[in-house]
Amino acid sequence: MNLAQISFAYLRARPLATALNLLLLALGIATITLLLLATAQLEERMSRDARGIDLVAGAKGSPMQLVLSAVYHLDAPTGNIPLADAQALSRNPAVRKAIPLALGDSFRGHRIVGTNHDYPAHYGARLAAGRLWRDPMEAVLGAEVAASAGLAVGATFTGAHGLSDGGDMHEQEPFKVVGILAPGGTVLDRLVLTSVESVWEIHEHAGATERREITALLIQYATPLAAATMPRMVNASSALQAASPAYESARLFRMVGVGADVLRAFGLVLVLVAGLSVFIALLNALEDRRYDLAVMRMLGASRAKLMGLMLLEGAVLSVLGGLAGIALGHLCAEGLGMALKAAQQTAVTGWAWDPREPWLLALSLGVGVAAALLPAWRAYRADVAPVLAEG
Amino acid sequence: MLRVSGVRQVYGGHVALALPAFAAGAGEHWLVLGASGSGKTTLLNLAAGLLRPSAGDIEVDAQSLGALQGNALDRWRGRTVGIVPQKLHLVASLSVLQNLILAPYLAGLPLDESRALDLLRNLSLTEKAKDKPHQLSHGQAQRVAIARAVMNRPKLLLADEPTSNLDDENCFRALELLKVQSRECGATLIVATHDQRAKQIFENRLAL
Repeated sequence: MNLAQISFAYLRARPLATALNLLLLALGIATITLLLLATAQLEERMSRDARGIDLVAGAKGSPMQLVLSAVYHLDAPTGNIPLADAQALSRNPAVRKAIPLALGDSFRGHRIVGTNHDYPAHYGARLAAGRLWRDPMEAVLGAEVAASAGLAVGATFTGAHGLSDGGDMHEQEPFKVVGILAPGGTVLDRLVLTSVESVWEIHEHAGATERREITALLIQYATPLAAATMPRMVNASSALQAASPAYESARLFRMVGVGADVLRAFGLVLVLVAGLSVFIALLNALEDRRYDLAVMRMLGASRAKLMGLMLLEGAVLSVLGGLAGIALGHLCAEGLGMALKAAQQTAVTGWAWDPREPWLLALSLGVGVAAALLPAWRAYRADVAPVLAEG
Repeated sequence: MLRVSGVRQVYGGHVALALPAFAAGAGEHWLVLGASGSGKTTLLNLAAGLLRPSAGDIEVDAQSLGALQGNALDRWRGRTVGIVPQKLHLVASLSVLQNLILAPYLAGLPLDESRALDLLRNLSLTEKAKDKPHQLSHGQAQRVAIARAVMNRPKLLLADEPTSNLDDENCFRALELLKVQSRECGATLIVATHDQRAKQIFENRLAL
């Protein structure tokens, strides 16, 4: 027998109150856990996708849209830019690396990206099977695309016009799968990669014989000094605009962050309400238990031991609630991840830990112990003889 | 063994209770008789160190209770005194067996489960060991309370109105049980009651 066993016996003796308190605490902690996981993973994922890309050059429009479409492949492109302008920009001595992207078609909702081998190399992508594309109409599938479409090396598929499902099919121009990328946790997982020439070929045959164009250029600077001059220089040219992924995604997170802060505050309020509930439960329990506590003193328990018992009960309740909340938060994150995966959005998983989670447990424990303080103090102060005499 | 001398309880400036000088030897069985309000329960609480006298001294087993403070007093009580309170006060969320084990646990003594089981067998409560107190009859609950009081083999066993609400047969059975159990651990037994029936089987009596 020890104090923990006695605490558990008391908690078991009031199953409904215990369950409700656990639920309240768990909901609060789960909300905060989910937010921590989702925002951390999203930010991590977005910064990984944007790593090493200092500037995106594309058609004029919203800079955020340009970054969302060219770096994260989430939004529609702002338009196309003349190949000649892009090539001129690539030759600028301040540019170390310039990766062309030609967008316009999709395969079952996955974007077909015309680019060069620098693009997979930039993300350090490895091939799970086959090889990279050489000739036009050869394609390499991202891991998620290959898995969801069930295509292997050697298979053929046709792209659809437009970036969403349901566009006209380019039936005359089937792609041949020559390689499949290993999952890398980057935007490449969701893309179909091919040569820029393939994209041109499809659209020229479809009748659009315009000047050669690409959609965007991902630029890495050769020198940090370029950050000061390059965007202004690009924006000054009539056809192009430059957008910084770091700046635009920070702006995006500031906007989304307000919502996340509100939710976080909501989670905190839930935790505090749960603390209040634990406090009321323990105070009531103390009222029910003044005889038990008096008997324990009668049997030789010190005041400190009784105080410890009450504190332990608050602690046991809050640690259980905290653990349940963290588990629930992970479960919700995994559920959210599955829902997002179905919508082919950036994935969130519940199978990852956030280094801040121990603090959530500490928060929960702190709330539980704080709620138990007054009941514990009362147990400490209680006089035994008069209590034993009533009853 | 138990010596009470010059004890007065003062409430609100006037003497509410003055106990006669009184001494009980080791292993003796005493009956403290008196109407309600005569100070029987106060005497038991004083002897257990649950109350402090306003004046006078109480000695148990050559230990002056005035010299014990705080944790030391609680610890001393847990190891030296067994108490059967009038309202029994078994811990409702613990099983009968756990209620018995609670006594050595809270007194900081080794948890002697075999003693608890022996006691339950002697009191024909073996099959109730896993039950909760609310599943017991009044007589059974009282036997559990007595078993709990003697778990730590106290030197002083105190019982407050152990025969209230009991018919004659159960009244004598309860008193007999207290006597047998206190004899078993060599404890001095003090029974406080207003029940005149008890007189028949106690030779040492103190009237308040």
